[in-house]
Amino acid sequence: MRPEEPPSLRLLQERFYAACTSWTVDVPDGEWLEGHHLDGTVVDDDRATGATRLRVYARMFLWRITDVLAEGFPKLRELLGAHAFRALAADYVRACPPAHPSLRNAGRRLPDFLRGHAVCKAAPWLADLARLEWAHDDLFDGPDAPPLTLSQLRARGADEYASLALRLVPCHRIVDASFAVDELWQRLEEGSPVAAPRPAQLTLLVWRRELAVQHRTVDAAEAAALRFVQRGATLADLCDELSQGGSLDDTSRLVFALLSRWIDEDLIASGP
Amino acid sequence: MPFCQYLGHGIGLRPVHYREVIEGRPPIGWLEIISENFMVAGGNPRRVLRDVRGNYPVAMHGVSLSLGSTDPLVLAYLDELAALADDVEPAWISDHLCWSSLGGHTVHDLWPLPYTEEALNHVAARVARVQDRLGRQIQIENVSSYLTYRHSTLTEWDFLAELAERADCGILLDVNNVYVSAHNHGFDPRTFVDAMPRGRVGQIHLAGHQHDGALFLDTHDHPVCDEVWDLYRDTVRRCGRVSTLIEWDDEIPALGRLLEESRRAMGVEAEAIATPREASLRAP
Repeated sequence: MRPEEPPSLRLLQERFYAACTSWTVDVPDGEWLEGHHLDGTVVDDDRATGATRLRVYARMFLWRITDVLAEGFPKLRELLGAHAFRALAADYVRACPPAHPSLRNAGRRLPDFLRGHAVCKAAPWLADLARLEWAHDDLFDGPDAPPLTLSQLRARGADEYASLALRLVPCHRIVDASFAVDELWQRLEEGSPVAAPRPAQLTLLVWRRELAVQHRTVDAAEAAALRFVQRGATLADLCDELSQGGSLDDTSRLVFALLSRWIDEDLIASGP
Repeated sequence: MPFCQYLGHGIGLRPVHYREVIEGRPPIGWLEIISENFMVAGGNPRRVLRDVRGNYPVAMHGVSLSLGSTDPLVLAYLDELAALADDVEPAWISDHLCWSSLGGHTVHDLWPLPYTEEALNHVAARVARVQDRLGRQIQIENVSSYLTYRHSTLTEWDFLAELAERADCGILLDVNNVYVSAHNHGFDPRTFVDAMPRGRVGQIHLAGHQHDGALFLDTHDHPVCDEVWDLYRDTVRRCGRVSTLIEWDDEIPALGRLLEESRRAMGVEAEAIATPREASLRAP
């Protein structure tokens, strides 16, 4: 019988990739290698079989991604437990294989994936928690922007206030949730016993202040104002937006309260 | 050649040591960063990098160039790498002799290449393209491997040496990886070291590994073992003084312990320089 031609580099890599990313503990070694046409390609010897050798890569692929996800989603991991988290990570990486050269992006699609996963059928709040954890993780090394300070604002003439461009610092996210995951988060931070969070329509603002990422809930009016400002607005635009249906005094009070708080919390970027 | 400048002994800059390195400014010859961890827009990583770069030479070590992949080079990644290099002005930029992506997906691991003429041509062309984009020579590191391919026609050491010549790049010789692969595949690690072209080895890595059944695994979570120290001594005798890094990426010890390991490397290097190979062979 004529020996098989060695595979091209491309074909070898396709087979290797398929074998390592589809490996599970219950697949028999011989079947695994033959199924991916690697049985005649990988050297096996007295020290270790070809399957044992290839399995090192298959296991490391899963472990590395799982470790990174565990670092990015420590609360999700704590709630699920190590075993269930590993199983979730394995399902996730098969459904959403990493596509970015940096591991920091490995968890980007986990919250959406989780929503359709079996673990969320019994505990649907896990997807909200994961979304909040991902926002924290993603903002950790996001772009820097000096915040607008009160003294900078005061240095402007009163006639410039209306045209003041309100620009949120780039390191922020507005996260909607259907469960009170802020309370769950707090209890996990404190190490208190946790129960399923109550259903609640929440909006959470997550942002980085200097080097620390934090979050808080926002009410409906503030959420609407934040989303309006996100699209690009001046102070005058915001006043117009919030004045609809309200008195001038009410609008002024609301805008003043929001702006004071946002500046106090380093949420408004300075500069153009 | 710029990739051969000698900076002494360095350690990896890892988050657990950020504060001590910034505030204490310990005497370290240079610091290595994992490039991808700093290819970010801002926040603490970039702040730390700005700070340490003001006080230490920095080497950029990457894991995602995927030089052996048959996918096209990811130009966006290469642009980000070039931008980071412009900021950092690193002593060296390095990555691995491996492939780590396919079909647009990344495996975040260092998968082994077959050592064939086809692979050699492929990798040499890609290294040349990377060097053109970065405007500088890079160093290529040998990886620990757990399997080899029946159709390889070259040894790993001949492949690496030939690659360095063809692409006109440097070699980052990971002595622990040589030792691990030698055990896993049954070759003499000194044969590998002896095949390295002296003028091309610009950096050495030392690390710990684990035993997993019959195979050794490159885990960077242990001290350097005695056999690797011996091999390092022989490497210095062969290549002369080469900037050397202690890699410790998991179960990372206190900074003091890491620096102790680095000082040991200095001692072994000094001993090797003082005792040429011929003299060491004559010793009882």
